[in-house]
Formats: sequence, structure tokens, C-alpha cells
Amino acid sequence: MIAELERAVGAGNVMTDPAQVASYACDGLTGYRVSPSAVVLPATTDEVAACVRICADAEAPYVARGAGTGLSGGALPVADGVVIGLQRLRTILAVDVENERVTVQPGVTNLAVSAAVAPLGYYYAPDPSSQQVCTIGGNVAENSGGAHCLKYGFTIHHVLAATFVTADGRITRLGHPVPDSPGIDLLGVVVGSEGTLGIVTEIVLRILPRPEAVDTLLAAFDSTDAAGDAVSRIIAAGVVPAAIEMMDRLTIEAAEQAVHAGYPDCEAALLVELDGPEAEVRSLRPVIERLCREAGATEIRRAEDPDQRARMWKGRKAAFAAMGRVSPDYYVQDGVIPRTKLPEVLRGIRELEATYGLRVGNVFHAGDGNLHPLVLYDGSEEGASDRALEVATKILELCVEHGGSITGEHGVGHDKVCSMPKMFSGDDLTVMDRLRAAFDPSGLANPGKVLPTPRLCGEVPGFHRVHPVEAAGLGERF
Amino acid sequence: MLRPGSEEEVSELLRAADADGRKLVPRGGGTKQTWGRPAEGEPLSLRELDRLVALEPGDFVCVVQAGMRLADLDAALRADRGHRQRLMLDPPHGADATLGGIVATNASGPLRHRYGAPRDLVIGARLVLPDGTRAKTGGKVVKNVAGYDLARLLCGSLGSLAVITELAFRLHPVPEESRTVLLETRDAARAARFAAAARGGGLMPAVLELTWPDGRVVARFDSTPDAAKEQAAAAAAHDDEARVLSDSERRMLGPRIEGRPWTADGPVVGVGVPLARIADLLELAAEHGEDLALRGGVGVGEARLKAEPDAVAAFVRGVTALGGHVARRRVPDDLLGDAWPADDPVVRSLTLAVKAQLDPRGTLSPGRLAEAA
Repeated sequence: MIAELERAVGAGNVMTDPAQVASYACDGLTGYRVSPSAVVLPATTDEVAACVRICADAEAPYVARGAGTGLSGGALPVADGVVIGLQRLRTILAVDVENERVTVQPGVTNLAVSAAVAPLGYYYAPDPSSQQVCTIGGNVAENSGGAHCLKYGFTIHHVLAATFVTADGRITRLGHPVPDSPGIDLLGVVVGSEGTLGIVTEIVLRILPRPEAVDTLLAAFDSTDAAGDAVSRIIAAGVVPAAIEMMDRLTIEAAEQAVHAGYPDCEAALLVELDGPEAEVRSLRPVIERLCREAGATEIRRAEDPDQRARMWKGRKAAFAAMGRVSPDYYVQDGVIPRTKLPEVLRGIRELEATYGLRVGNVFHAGDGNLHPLVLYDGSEEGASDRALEVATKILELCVEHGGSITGEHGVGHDKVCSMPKMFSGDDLTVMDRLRAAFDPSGLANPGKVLPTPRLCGEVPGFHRVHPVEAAGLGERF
Repeated sequence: MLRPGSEEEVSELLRAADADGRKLVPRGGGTKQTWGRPAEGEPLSLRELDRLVALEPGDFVCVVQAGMRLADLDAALRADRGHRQRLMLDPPHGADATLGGIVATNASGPLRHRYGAPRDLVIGARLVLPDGTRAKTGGKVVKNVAGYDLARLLCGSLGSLAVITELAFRLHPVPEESRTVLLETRDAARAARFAAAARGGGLMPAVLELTWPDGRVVARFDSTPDAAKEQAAAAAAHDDEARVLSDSERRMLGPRIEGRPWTADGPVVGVGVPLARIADLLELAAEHGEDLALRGGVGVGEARLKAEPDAVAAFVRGVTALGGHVARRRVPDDLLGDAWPADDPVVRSLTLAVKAQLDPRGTLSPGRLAEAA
């Protein structure tokens, strides 16, 4: 198989040396590591299809990979399998501004799309925090969101069409550059399928005109409940800001230490961004300020210029990495709750903190209920990492109990497969499995992701047991 | 007609039909049974499943049974005084259409311009497969990427993959103020130019609707009172004959364009063209003179044609040549002709594979998706 792969893409683009393939052993979730038997780097759609056909003929599992920034282990290799790295497919193929669309290869970074169309007054709306490095191919696989998806939606709302390599290596086009084409929405289900249905090799994206005006406010509160009340008032008033982000004291302090964003000293901060027509933003700003004050805001700051706005966002976007300042290790979760259940869920998280003796910081996309709890622990302490995983899993259970989801934007990946049965019944999962089988009857495309298997999860799913991957010496936790 | 009253009954009816080899055609309000290819089978009405399951405006979410009419959901949302929110869908025949049917057809109207099609607004579903399996997909939160998004697959599936029994949708607030700008012109290039100007330079209409051959461009700006007024005035300034309508003119305009192009007999197709080809589409429409009625948002819409195979074929070829697509909405068999673009063989095989996994015995709406499915 290796010789065939070398013939398909050139010997220099196939790696089998253990030291070389080791750098592909994990994605952004570094706790799980599996070394693949080979990494192959195709440069064209035809080469991707050839690689997939070779894997299919050899019955070798394969995992497509973009920049490897994912936080759920979606690009975790399979032992004895092949990683198909798409980083050489990084050309912006067409900018068609009069039809408001851009065609890119999957290895193009998210931010590069916006950068390419910025001089024309356009941008690409989904903005995951990793947008400087994460790729469009990965965004499509994960249906990535970002801070502005309350108003602008997710990747699914911005992908019009794609060149698609099927799980057995055929090439086709899904979707249409003009929306609402007839036929079942195959592309709609491929977006967010985490590389388990096939591989996209060209993507047609919708771009939007840059909003005329942007206004960013930072409001301080004495409690997360008060900040949550402000969000409720904003929504009841019929305002949909471009973003509403909430941070609690622990995350504010960490972000301050890391990037000196100038956040106020408070229990909870709300970052509210309005965008749109100048007149609309102008008339809504006082409304937001009044609603925040009515909810008990102790201080409201407004970004006076783009630099101040960038600093406010820097504090928020650096929150994950900043946790390194206050704790040796941390574990990020990605639960979703109905926004209105926030006070109850935060109380539940505080109880878990007390029970397990671990601190949890909370960053919250408050408009759409996407909660990122950061469970802090010291990996050098005996049993601490297991306790952290247990807390993280219990937080996901809390989210599901309150009518939410185990993942809002990071994907199920490898990390949360065993939590899927908490959200979905056996029948629900069987139907998903039947869909998977329609696209990939041989089950070679990114196996072990999204849907739980008895081999991975045993009869009682959960992280609180020795993971079979660990037991088999195939992976370890952090 | 079969009229199950619960999801359990839907499941029992489907399992029995599947076992006996009987064919079923799911149906809501029955307003879009002509969409897609013709399907043969006993009608399975979902109208008894008409309950509002949950209304959570604080989370921008509502959950309904599939047989609930859009009009009834609208009434329930209007009754909520604390939040002024709507499900932003206005498909053809909206008064009688059910939410399950709207999703199964992925039908949209003028509001699509800002809020998207049903596939952009549905966040979860419950469904029943022909073997009786009851399952859910998605959830009741706006943001959610857990598992495959089967709800999206059901959008536009025309009742051929599964029976939808429940749906969760994203809601949007009703804007404070609306201002409408109207341009009337029979000059295709001028209409297209104005439509482009009305969404350029910071202008963000909620609705931007073209009708032809009467030659109307309607741009509606929904926002705060100041902004709606400013935006409408700025849009109207782009053409000497464009004007901001008074409230009474606006009320009169509604009935003049509502229901188009369905209000007269003749084959109807869905139409999509690239944004930059709208003038070309209008020129193409003009070739058909008064025999063709067209409505569309920017890029996607519907056209009614003269019931002649040559006319239909010419229009279908013309739209395809513009880089667009057409869909069968109400096209009699004898008008199908050979002008319709052939399905890509791989897309066709994936479609048939999905159908075979979810409905292996071909129980639901046979023939609707493709001749063999």
C-alpha cells in the first residue's frame, strides 16, 4: 500500500518514519495520541481520490486532517491506518465577488478567506477562536461556529457547494453554488460529519459584505446571575447582537494576567457586539447600555476605536490559553444549554467544584447557550486528571439533563463518543449509523469518531473507567 | 386517508405497510404534493399531530408537531406578549401549509432573503422510518453539533426518506419597524441594477423581491425606526422612480404580489441563478412575454410558464445556461421533456444509497426523488 501511495502522490509526500508520523499522532486535544502507520500529503482532488481508493482497496482506515486544531480528537489517527493530510491543498481558487462567493481548497485557513476578500469590502462570517490557523476543510468537517454565530450562523449556513471524494474514492460535486437546488441535502449532512462520510477537496463559500458599523461594549456585573439577567433582557427586547460573550471571575483574571485586556475587576463580564447598518447600531447601543444597567451592571465600557475593540476581544479569545497562567493543566468542555437554564447549570458546576476540589472557569457564548467550562487541575498530582475528566463529563451530563447538548462547536470526535448515549437513544444512534453506512459501507472513513461502538465504550459509557484505547496502549490521557 | 394521532400510531402504520408492501405518501396541508416527481401511494396525513410542544422564546426556540400549520404557530407566537418572535418562514400557500410539509419541501418565500430556507432554521427533528424505528436528531438548542444532522437531510426530501413527526426551529425577533421601497419598471437591466443597489453600500434589506412581467422590485427594511427610515430613503435614492411606500400603499401592495406565481394555471418551476445573472434571468423571462410569471428573492425564486413543452424546455435550458438550476414544483408529466439536467451519477448513487438505508423496501413516496426511488 505504501508503494502505491508513493506512486500516487510522490515518495516525498508519504511519511512512514515513526518520528515523522508522531507529529500527526494527535490534534488540539493532545491527551489522546495514536501513531498512524503512514501520513500521506496529496496536492489535488485526484490525488486525494487516489489515496482514498488505495486505502479502500487495502481495507486500511484513513483519517482526513486539516491543521489539527480540533478540540475533540476528530483527527485522532487510527492505529495501522493512514492520515490524509490536506495542508498542501491551500489555494484560494476563485474570488467571485459579484456573486458573493469564494472557492477554496480545504487547507486554506479560515482567516485567509476573510483576508482575501477584505479589500473588496467582504468577509467570511464563521470565526472560530483558532481562525488564524484552522482550515476550511476542518471547519466543514466540524461545522465550526465562533463568537458571532448567534447572528450569522455556523459553517453550514455559509457553505454552498463542495467537490467531494466519496469514502470509496469517487469524485463528485455536492450542493450548488446557487442555494436551494433540488435533491436531498447531501452536503447538509456532510457538513459537521467529522470526516466520517468522505472528504471535501474544494469548497464554495458564501461571503458577506462587511457591516457598515460595529460597536463593542464591555459590562461588569456582581454575579453571573446578573449578567445572565442582562442577556435575558436583551433578548426579550428583540435585539440580536452579533455576539454576547460572558466570562466569570476566574477566566477574567486569567485573561487579564495573560493579555492585559483592561477588563474590570468583577464577578462576571459581558462582551456585547452590535453590527449592521450605522443607524441601527447607533440606535441600539443606548438600548443595550440601559438593559445592562437595569440588570445591575456596575460599569460599562465602550470600545472607542478598533484598537480598543481588538483588545476587548483579545481578552475573550485568549481565555483558553490564559488558563495556563492560573493552572498547570486544564480541560476544555463544549456543552450547550438552553440559555435560560444558565443559573441552574452554573450552580451545578459550583457543586461539582466543591465535591471534587477542582476549580472551573466558565466562558459562555451567552446568546446561544454554548458553555465552555475550563476544568483546572495539576496533572502532576495523583489522580487529578481523572478527577478533571470526571468533572468535565458530569458537566456534559448537566447540560443534557437541562435539555442541551454535549457539543456546540467542537464536535464529538473521539473525546465524546461515549457521551453520545446520554443524549441519544440506541434507535437514534442506529439511524445515524445507517446514514453513515449509506456513505461509507466499509466503515473506513475516520472510524471510531462521532458514533459510539462497544469496543470503544464498553457497556457502560463514560470516562470514569479505564478507556479501552488506554488499556490497549493506543492512547493516554492528560 | 390514514390519519395517525400520535408518533406511536405513525410507527405502527408504517411498520405494517412496510411489511405488507403497501406504499405511503406522507402529507401535511396537501399544498405541495405536486413538488418533485409524482409519487404513488396511499396518503398518510400528519394533520392530527398538530400540537405546539414547547415555546422557549428566551432561547429563540419552538418545538412543534409536524402537522401543525404555520398559521397556527404564528398565532401562538403572537399571543406571547413577553417576546415578539416569529418563525421567519413565508412559503407559498403558507396559510394551509404544515411545518412538516414546509421542511419536507424546503419551501421558502420572500423572507428567505434575510432568514434563509427551512434547512437554515430547523435545529432538530423526530422522525419515523418505514420499519417503525422512531428516532430524534439534533436538539432543542440553537447551537449543537452532536451527531449527524438528519433534520437537514429531511429538508427537501419530499417525504421519501422518513416521516417527520416533530420539529424544533430557531425563532427570530420581530423588528420594531418596517419600511418598503418600490420600483416599477419593465426594463430588466434597470430592475436588476436597482435590486443590486438596494443591498449594496451598507443597505441590508430583510426582503428584496422581484416580480415579473409586471416589473416590480420591492425592498423592505426591517430595523429600529431610525435605521429602517434611513435605509429605505437611501435605497430609494438609487432610482428616480423608486419610492418609499406609505403604510396604506404597503397594505395594498401585499395582495398584489402575494401568492405569485401560483395564482394562475400553468406549470411552475423553482428557479435559482447566480446573483450577477439576475438581469439575464429577467431578459430570459421577457422572451416568454406575458406567458411567464416570475417571483424571486435575490437569486432564488419561482416561475410559472405556459403549458407547452417547448416553452418549458427553453426556459429550463436558459436557466441552466446561466449557471442556475430548476426544480419541479407543479409540472405535469407530459411537460417534463428531456431538457432537465441529468443527475450526476455519483450524487444519484449516494441518494439511492441513503434511500436504501432508511427506506430499503421503497415504502415512502416511491418515484418522488428519482425514477427508481
